[in-house]
Amino acid sequence: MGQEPSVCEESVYNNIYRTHAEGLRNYLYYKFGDMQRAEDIVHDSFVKLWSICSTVVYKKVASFLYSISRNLMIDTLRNKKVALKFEKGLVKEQDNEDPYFKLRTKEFQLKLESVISDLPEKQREAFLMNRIDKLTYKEIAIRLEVSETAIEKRISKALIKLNSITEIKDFSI
Amino acid sequence: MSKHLEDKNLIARWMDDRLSNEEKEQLKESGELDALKTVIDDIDTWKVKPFDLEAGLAKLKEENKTVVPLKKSNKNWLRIAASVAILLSCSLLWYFTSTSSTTIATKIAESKTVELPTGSLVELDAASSITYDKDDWEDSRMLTLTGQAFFNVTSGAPFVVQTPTAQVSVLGTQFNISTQEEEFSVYCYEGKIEVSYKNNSEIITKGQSVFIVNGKLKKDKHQYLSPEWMNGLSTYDRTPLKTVIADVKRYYNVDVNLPQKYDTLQFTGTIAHKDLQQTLNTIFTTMEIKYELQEGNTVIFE
Repeated sequence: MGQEPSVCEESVYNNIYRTHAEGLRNYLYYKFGDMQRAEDIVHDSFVKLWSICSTVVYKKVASFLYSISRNLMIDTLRNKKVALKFEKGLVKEQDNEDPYFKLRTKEFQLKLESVISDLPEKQREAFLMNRIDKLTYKEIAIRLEVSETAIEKRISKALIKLNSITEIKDFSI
Repeated sequence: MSKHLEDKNLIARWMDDRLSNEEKEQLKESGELDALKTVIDDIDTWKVKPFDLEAGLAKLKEENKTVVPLKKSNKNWLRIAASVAILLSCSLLWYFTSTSSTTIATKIAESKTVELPTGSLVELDAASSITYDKDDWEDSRMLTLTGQAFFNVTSGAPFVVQTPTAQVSVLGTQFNISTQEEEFSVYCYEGKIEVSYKNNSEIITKGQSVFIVNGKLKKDKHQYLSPEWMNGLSTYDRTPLKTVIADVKRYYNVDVNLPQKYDTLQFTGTIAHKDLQQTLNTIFTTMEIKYELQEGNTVIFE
């Protein structure tokens, strides 16, 4: 076995931060819906990583960070209703010839945001990590330590839900 | 209504552009996902709060100044193991506040068989414990272990055992992990497992074992088909008396205050877990140490 980089080396540690901090924060936000807590937990997880850096194998660093940060989120946040907010692009000009113009309104966007927030935790986090963070199904599977098929299944369920509200005949604000 | 879209995760593969030509044609004709496509295209432009990486790193640097990382030192790996155990039990505290967290522990002289949610079996030795999240179990089989246990793992999601010392990753197999204070060992009886410690890892298969010697992973061979302790025995080969006595205290409810001068004497032999008198006799008589087993299960020395 070749020598792996040491997490205790400052440059390696900083690189781990640069690679994983943002993704970790977003994952925690999608999962628990609290941005401030997510940022605090990311910070605390990295402090913990530094303090026991000599015991963490480099290639297991991501799984260490994700599992320790899940443990650090206080239980009271678990069943709290999640209301995610995203920065959206400008709404396109209303074009009455567009069959989907109802789907491009601000009102529909807000409804979409709320439906996504109401998705079961695991479906929500997988879907958002794929669409907002642009991670592949495989990358998500690796970070969450589940199979790629499990991720596909969660995303399928999320999409079925979204599909049901985009069906024009069922559409109502 | 849309059952066929969930079949074989068709709709997830559609979004990932991984459909067969036939599937693509069918969806193009039915047009049933056209509206959803518009919605996904919109969601793709959404952004989450920007992340200030450099500010985060600077804040960390400040705080880490007061945190002393455990140094990699052969002499100090025991201290590392103890500190990690403390930190691990801190994170276990948070684990305990989660309603789906499950802990099973054995007392002194007790052993237990545990069946995990997807059929894997754990045989817990005395004074040991495992903790896992039962809701997460199907997707990610991760548990923490203190003490000693024998695992019989079914194939499925990745199976990871976290101990105060090192990590063991498994692929459907049978193996024994012992994480006592002075020694860490893993014996594989079937299948293939990976043991990670510091920056190294070793993969072992049936008939192989791994120890931590002088702060490094060391591979070895063994002839066992199953762990000895499950047959009520422990075998030692030039093992420090301190370690042997630590085991005796786990299997019997007995108080042994071994004088420090005897700590490093080496013991070679086999002891049973069922008969205290015989065990004490085996250990001390061969080493020519005079002892006395008093009432109330205390052993005293001259």
